[in-house]
Amino acid sequence: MKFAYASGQKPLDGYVIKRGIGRGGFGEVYFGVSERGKEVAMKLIQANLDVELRGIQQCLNLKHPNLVHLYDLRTDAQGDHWLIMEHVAGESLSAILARNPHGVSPELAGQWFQGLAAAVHHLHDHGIVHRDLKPGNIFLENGFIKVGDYGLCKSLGGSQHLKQTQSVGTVHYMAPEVASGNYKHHVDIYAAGVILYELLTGNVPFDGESVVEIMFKHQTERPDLGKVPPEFAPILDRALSKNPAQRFQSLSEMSKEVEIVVQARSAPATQLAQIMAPVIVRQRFEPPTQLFTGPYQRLAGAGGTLLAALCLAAVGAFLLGLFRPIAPMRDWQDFVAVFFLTTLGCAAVLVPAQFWTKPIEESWPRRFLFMGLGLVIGMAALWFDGYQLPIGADAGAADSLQPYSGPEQRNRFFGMLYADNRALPVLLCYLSYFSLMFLVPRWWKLGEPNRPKRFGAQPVIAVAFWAYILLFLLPAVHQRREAFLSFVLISVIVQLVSPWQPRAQERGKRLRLRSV
Amino acid sequence: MANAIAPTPELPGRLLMWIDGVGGFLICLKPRLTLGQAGPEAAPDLAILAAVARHHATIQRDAEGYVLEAVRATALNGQSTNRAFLRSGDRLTLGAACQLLFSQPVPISASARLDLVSGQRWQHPVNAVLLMAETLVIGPGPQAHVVVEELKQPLILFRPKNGLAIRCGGNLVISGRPHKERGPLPPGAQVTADGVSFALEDAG
Repeated sequence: MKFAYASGQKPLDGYVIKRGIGRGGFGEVYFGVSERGKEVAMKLIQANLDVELRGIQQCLNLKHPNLVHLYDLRTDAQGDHWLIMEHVAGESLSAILARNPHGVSPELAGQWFQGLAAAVHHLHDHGIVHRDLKPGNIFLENGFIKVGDYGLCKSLGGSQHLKQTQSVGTVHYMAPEVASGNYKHHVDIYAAGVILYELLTGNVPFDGESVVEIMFKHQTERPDLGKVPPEFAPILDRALSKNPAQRFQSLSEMSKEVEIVVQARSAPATQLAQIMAPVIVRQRFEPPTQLFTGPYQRLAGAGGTLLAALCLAAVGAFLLGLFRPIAPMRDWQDFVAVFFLTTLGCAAVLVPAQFWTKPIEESWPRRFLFMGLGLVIGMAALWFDGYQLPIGADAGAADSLQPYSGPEQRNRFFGMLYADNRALPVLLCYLSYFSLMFLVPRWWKLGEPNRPKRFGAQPVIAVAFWAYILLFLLPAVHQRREAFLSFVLISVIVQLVSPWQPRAQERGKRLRLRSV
Repeated sequence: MANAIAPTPELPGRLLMWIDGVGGFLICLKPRLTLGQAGPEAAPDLAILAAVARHHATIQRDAEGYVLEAVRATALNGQSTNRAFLRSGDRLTLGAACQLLFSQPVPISASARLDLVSGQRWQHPVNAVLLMAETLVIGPGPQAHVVVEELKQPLILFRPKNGLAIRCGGNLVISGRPHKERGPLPPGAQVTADGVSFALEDAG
């Protein structure tokens, strides 16, 4: 690296240059020592505009533990300007990120973000926009974050500065509205969001091979939030909004949310739901509702939804019983039959739903699982209706099964399509009806957390259709009625009770170019 | 033989090497060095701003290697010691809370590097202290006393009779004068070699 000044030179009275430290956007930075041994960093500012210098002068007396301290602004014999500031003996975040290609731990990222946010919030409080926040300007000294290079970009001629210094390395953190020249402190919030994303993942959200390509992505693409821990996604989504008005309006607000998320990560999983609740109110992107991850916790979650299903089944069966023309129920036994079948059916659909997280359009393993469950439920229905089950001593005596005795009511709806079926043995009827009813409709889609609507009429209609068509399998009208009503109720209740979250990508991957 | 040479008027006992874009290093050429806290009276050779005694320990280099002699409470790899041989990777703890890492990163060179790892700093604003035996390697690493990733080939500092010199693969410029592959390094020299520039300063 070649620097303009050599070790031992004294361009300014009182300071000796020892070595060059690096080259920033505005000029070279040197390490120097005063006559009495005070160590400083000396930035040679290659700017001649008074506007730029006045920007620095506004910052000269700012003090904050997370800001690199400025000592003085001096002019040398040749008319060059020097900014004398605190020498930070530590690494920049860009060096740390180079060593951690997959990012750092969320706890560390959160901790560093707090320091960054405190510093930049202090600047905003004093009317200063940093405008050039990036990991190269942020240092870690003894575990403390120090933000530097502020005040150097106060600009009226923002676009003029853009022409001078834009390279691929500097536009990764640039908010979309900067290109228009009309921007405020929100650009720092955007940049802070990009930096937080990079700390968590190791990569910037928008990258490319040219300045133009990256700037275009800032304007039009949405960041891939699948790469960050999900609890950070809502924060990043908001901070990286294309519209400045939709971002956090202050860094203190953003850092409070980061702190909540980081603290929640260390809380036990069972308290997670309570801690997350206050934050969910303001988010547009909801965290996944499958908060229970272990198998026992999933069963407990299933238990909760099952309880709700149970109550709804009772209510539903009762309400249907009132609907006399279609489904007159003779007595409480019918009501209990419908309730019983509905509850079993809901359990059969809801419990597997807790374990299936991936939405699938078609899955034969799942269909066969359901068919098996249908067989079991068919046997349960047999047992409930008073038939002896074909197990134990009476196996093989299917012909001797006695149907439920009681007055048979002629019913137009359930007797319409098919006559009473006395040909097939009762056992075969029940088993085939229930197993087919669980095989044919795609029951798993009713319980998917990210189904398109919480409650859709289409699935209910489809289930009702199949439940009716297959009724030829069941011999007696009352059985048909109970079965049909139960399946309709199951399809309704499962949708009402299953956890559901609205889909996040409703806005689509690409946005139209905004003119800010 | 190079170990026994005492500093001559041309070559001070200690030099500060300032490498642009990398850092500062204190190069110690004497075979016997005192280690301790910097103070207003005569300072130790290796002065640390820490809560340690003025003369806390001594490091001696001889034909067999480096020996640590404790004057005050000193531990080597956690074990209290009075006198011990130093091996690469050893951690010296002076007093309660000042720890140094001793390393010899270049296998064929007896020179060693001392890093402060407990958060304090050397009196001079340097990254580390280099105990120079016969050679010092500045290279892309990891087998280098000073790691500079931009270098394509290592720069070797060595000690011809009564002096210090540098050897490198290509051309060098020393204090404005070009040299081919090798050249002398007097105190005050400004060197550019293979894209890296550094300066040497007399540290007394």
